[in-house]
Formats: sequence, C-alpha cells, structure tokens
Amino acid sequence: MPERRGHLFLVGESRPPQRRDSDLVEAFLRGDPGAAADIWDRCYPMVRRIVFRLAGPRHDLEDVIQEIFLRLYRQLPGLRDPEALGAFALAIAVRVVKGDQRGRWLKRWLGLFRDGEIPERAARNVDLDAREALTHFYRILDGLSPQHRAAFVLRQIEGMELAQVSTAVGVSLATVKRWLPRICQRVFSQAKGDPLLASYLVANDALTVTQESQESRD
Amino acid sequence: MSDQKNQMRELAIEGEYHHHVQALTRLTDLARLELPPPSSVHDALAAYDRLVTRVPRLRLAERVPRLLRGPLLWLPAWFGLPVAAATMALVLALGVWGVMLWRPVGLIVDDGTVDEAGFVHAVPAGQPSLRFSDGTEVTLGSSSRARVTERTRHGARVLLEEGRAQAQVVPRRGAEWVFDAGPCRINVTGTRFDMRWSSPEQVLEVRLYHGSVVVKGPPALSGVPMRAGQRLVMDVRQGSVRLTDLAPATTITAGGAPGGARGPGEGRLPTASPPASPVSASAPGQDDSPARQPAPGLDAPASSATSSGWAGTAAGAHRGETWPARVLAGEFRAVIDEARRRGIDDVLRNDSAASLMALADAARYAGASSLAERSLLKVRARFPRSGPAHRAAFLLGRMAEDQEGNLGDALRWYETYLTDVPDDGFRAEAMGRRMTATLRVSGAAQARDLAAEYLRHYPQGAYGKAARAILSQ
Repeated sequence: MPERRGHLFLVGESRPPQRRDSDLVEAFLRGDPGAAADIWDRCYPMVRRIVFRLAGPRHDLEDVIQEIFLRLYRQLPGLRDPEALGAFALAIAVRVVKGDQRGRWLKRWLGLFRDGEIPERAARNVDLDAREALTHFYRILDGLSPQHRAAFVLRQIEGMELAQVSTAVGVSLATVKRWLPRICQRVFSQAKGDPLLASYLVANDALTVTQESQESRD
Repeated sequence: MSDQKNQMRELAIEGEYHHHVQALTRLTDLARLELPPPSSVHDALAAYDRLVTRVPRLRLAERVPRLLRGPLLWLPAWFGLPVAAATMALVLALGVWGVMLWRPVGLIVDDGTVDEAGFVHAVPAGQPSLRFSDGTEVTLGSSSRARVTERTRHGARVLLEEGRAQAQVVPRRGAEWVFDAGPCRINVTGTRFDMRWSSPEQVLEVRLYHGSVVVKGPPALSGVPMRAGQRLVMDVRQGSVRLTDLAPATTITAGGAPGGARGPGEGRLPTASPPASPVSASAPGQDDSPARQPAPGLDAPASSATSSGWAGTAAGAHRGETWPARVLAGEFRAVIDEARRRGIDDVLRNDSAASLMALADAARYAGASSLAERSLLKVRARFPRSGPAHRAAFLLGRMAEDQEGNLGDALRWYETYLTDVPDDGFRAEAMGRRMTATLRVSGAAQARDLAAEYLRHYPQGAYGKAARAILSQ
C-alpha cells in the first residue's frame, strides 16, 4: 500500500492529472489546505537540484530548501503571473542561496565559524577520480561571487536560456552576457592550473589560437 | 574604424567564450550528472512537516506590521518623522530587550556543528566545543557523541551518549544545567567538572573540580551530592556508586592529556588510582550496602596502566591485553589493525562475543561503520539470545538511524532489542529513539502510544520533552 500523507505524494502512487501552475497558486491564495503541499510536490525536485548545484554538497541542504519554501509561500501573494510559479521559485532559490553564501563567506572571513568546507561525498558507486574532480571543481566555484556562480551554474550546468538566467539572478540580460565569458575564462584558468582538473579539460586546438589573439590584444 | 575594431574584439571574446565552454564540457557534464544525494522519502516528509509547523508562526508574524500600521495612521500631523523614528526605535529596543530576556542561551560550536536534532558533529579530527552565551563551555572528546536536547533561558540540557565531556558551567542565579548520560543525570548550577560515559559498560564517571553537583541514576535515585575535589563512579549495571577523593594529579586538560596535548588514546579511561579509602560508600536514599567495587571495565584497565589522567599511551603498553581492555584504553585503530592483520573473516568466525563487541566498538569510534555492522551482525548470528546479541541489536538500530539515515531498519532493530530483553541499559534510549523515529516515519498519531509508554517508564528521561510534545499535538 503506497504511503500517503496529506497531499504529499510518495512512491508508486498514481497521481491525479497535474494542475496548472496558475491553478495551484490560486488555490493557495484561496487558502486551499492542500495547495501548499501541491506546490511543494511541484517545485521540490527542481529547487533541490538547483540548491545542490548552486551551493555544492553540504549538510544543511534541507534547511536551505525549507527557507526557500517559506519565502515562496510568503511571497506568492505578490506573484504577478501565476503561470510563472517555477521561475518564481527558481528566483527565490537563487536569492536564498546567494544570501546564504554571503553569510557563510562573512562568517569565514570574520573567523566566527569554521564551516563552509566542502563535506565528503557519501560513498556511492561512482568513479572515485570523477568524484574527486567534482570536489575540486566545486572548490573553484566556491571562489566565485554568489552572483557569478549562479550565472555560471544556471547557464553552463543547468543549460538555461540567457533570459531565464538574467531573471533568476536578478540582473539585466546584457550583464549576464558580459559576465559569462569572464566567468568561464576564470573557471577555465583555474581548472587548467589544477593537475587533476586539467586532465578533464577537453583538448581544444583552436583554444591556442584564441589565446594568441588575447596576447596580441594585450 | 573603431566600430570595426570593437566588432572584432567582441567576436574574439565570443570565440574565446565558446572555446572555454567547450573545454569545460566534461566538468560541467559531470556536475550535471551528479544529482544531490538521494533524500529519503522520510527526510522529505520530515522537512515538509517542519515547514508546515513553521508556516502558522510565519502568518502570525505577518500580522504584526499590520497591527502596528493601524495606530500610526491616526497620529496627528505634528507627529513628524523624528518622533515616529524615536518611537519606533524605542519599540525596537523594548522588543530586543524582551527577546534577550526570554530567548534561550545562545550556542556556538567550535570544531563542529549542531544539527537540527541537536546532535553535535565534530569536524574531522576536531574536538567540538560548545560555547553558550552565558559563558558556559562544554568540550567533547573527538570520538564522543553528544546532543543538546534542550536550551532554555536558564541553561541547557546536554545528553552525552558516549565518550567524555568537560564542562565549565558559569554560576548564575537560577541557572539550570543538566547533563544526561544514559539513565544517569547530573544537575549543575555552576561548576567545573569532567564526565565520561561508557555506554557499553554503563558506567559514568564524574570528576568535580569546583562547585557542587548532584548525580542521579538508577543506583542512586535520590541523587548523590558531590563537592569539589571528588570523583564519582556510578555503575548502572552493578548498581553501585563509589565516591572518592580526587587526587590532585588526576586533573585533566581540555585536550584529554596532561599539559593540553591530545593524546592518541583520546577517550581512554582515567588511569589514576583513586585514594585508598572511599569517602562515601553508598548513595543517599538507598538502603544499599556499602558500594561495591566499581565495574571492572572502568577500573581494571586503570590499575594496569602506568600513566595518570586520560592521556593515551602507546599501543605497546597494552600488548597482551584483551580487545575490550584496549578499546576501553582508547586504542581503537590498533584493535582494528590487529583484526585486519589476523583477517576479519577469521576473527568474526572464531573470536568470542566480547572480542567482537569490542571490535564493533572500536570500529564505531574510528568511523569504520561497515566493519562495526559486520561485527554486530556476527555477534547476533553466533551468540543468539546472549547479552551482547541484545546490545548488538540496539547498536545496529542506532547506526542505521544516525549513520545511514535508514529509519525503517533502525525501527526494526529497536523493536528487536526491546522485544528481546525486558530490561537493559539501553532500554530508555531505545524507547526514546523508537518514538522519535516513528514520529519521523509515520507521524505524531502513530508515535502517541510510544510517547505515553516512554513517559510512563521514564518521566524524567532525556526524551521526555519530545514525548510530551508528541502527546500535546
């Protein structure tokens, strides 16, 4: 017998036809008691994935997610386009993670806490080298400012459109376009300087040409 | 001409960008493939439950600005911005003062973190130190397990599940500090003491340097008052309490070793010999005869060791000793290494239950959870219906819950343990854990009966607050 509590669906249950985002938002604003759980169901996987990629592996993933949903529920009455529930949740997720990263950076800087270290990944059946490479990769991303990291992750890992990235990060499209080459250049240079990550960089002959062109420009 | 230059420059930047993106493809692909570690359904449910319990509070908080906004709209015109600002500042100051007055003591953890359940997690090779806002400090051994079960404005309640803790409680009027260790409890108002709890042996040791405390436990239900300079050993299993003078040489440092250095045998038992004659033999309120000798597990290795304090000694000093004695001496790695040298399969097949339990303990303390699990399962398979097998069931449940987050397995082991034996040292904790695990898995309705049962047996237990919270829902 599949387990079910409230409106939160668990494994193996045939779900009723999906409601549209706008219906969910309207139901929530009407005070429908099941709407909050439905919104949780709809947004939780995406929010969890985004938080994981923006913040990297960490122990308090669920706490951050909880904070995001708290803000989402609180700010839903201000949502102008109820069809944009997903984008709205995404923007809040990016904002919460950015704020959290700033706080962690400040705490580390002030020496108040020694957190912020990337925790060990749980042992799973994955390539150990790849896991180590990912840890190094996330360390490079940790060095980016929260906004730059968000832009990089949403565009290069999540594969979002530039317009979506600019909305989620809260900057103009032109800014995102200006940022991305610089961010990628920085990530690439640091990855190249890391002996482990260097072996994961895709060999690219044309790159030499552009580097030469960069030197000639300088 | 300059337009053309700009255009060329933009093209170059774009080309470079695409090359960098291409070069990073493998790494970004890897990151894309790696999904967050699977969150169990129960974790997600628990997160959602926590969220919905916070939402009503959130809505309440949102009403406050509206209530404040009302009167301000009615203020006369002369009530200008400076007056409004001053009023707001006053209200804010009163609010902050009120919050400061009523909020529980704050907590900062050095070399570790405290999760939402209150469990203290050490950073690798760290020795977590809990610093409370009133100046109280509790330092844990690196392999110790502890939980902050409650914080109030008067103090906090710390549960030492295993290992040792060093506490320096700042004296304050009305301070209420409680330290739990298994079924034993230390009530403190302001003092400095060290405590050590051995869960497998069910032995509590307290060394009191300043102030006074009252230690309660099954052998002394009314409590044993301690004064500065005393050492108490409470053996729950044997039902004995021994109170002796504390030799000055036994004072230990935060690092666990004399002089502040943390020895390799962190967590080992005290090795100083107590004074020849106990100053108090039995606990008040007990009709018991004079205290029996403390548990062999506590004092036996002490008598054979050569150094004083809780400092570790080289593994060679214990050559020839049994594994239980060596584990008690903190030689976890050495025991595991020896088992590996002999061959784990061979050890698991031939060694005694006591040795396998010691190996399991060593593996648990050293973080080798799979070896610990294998040892415990083997004890249950080879020595069914024995004391170690019963304890193994509880420890397997605790490992499943704490290390694997597998509440289903944890619940099954707790049930097995509680069904196997009518009474044992872990019973209170097993009942508490079964209750909280059921709450997380099935909700408050299913946990109600367990909460009532827990309170019936242990009204003052470490899980009492959680049980009452469940019953009040």
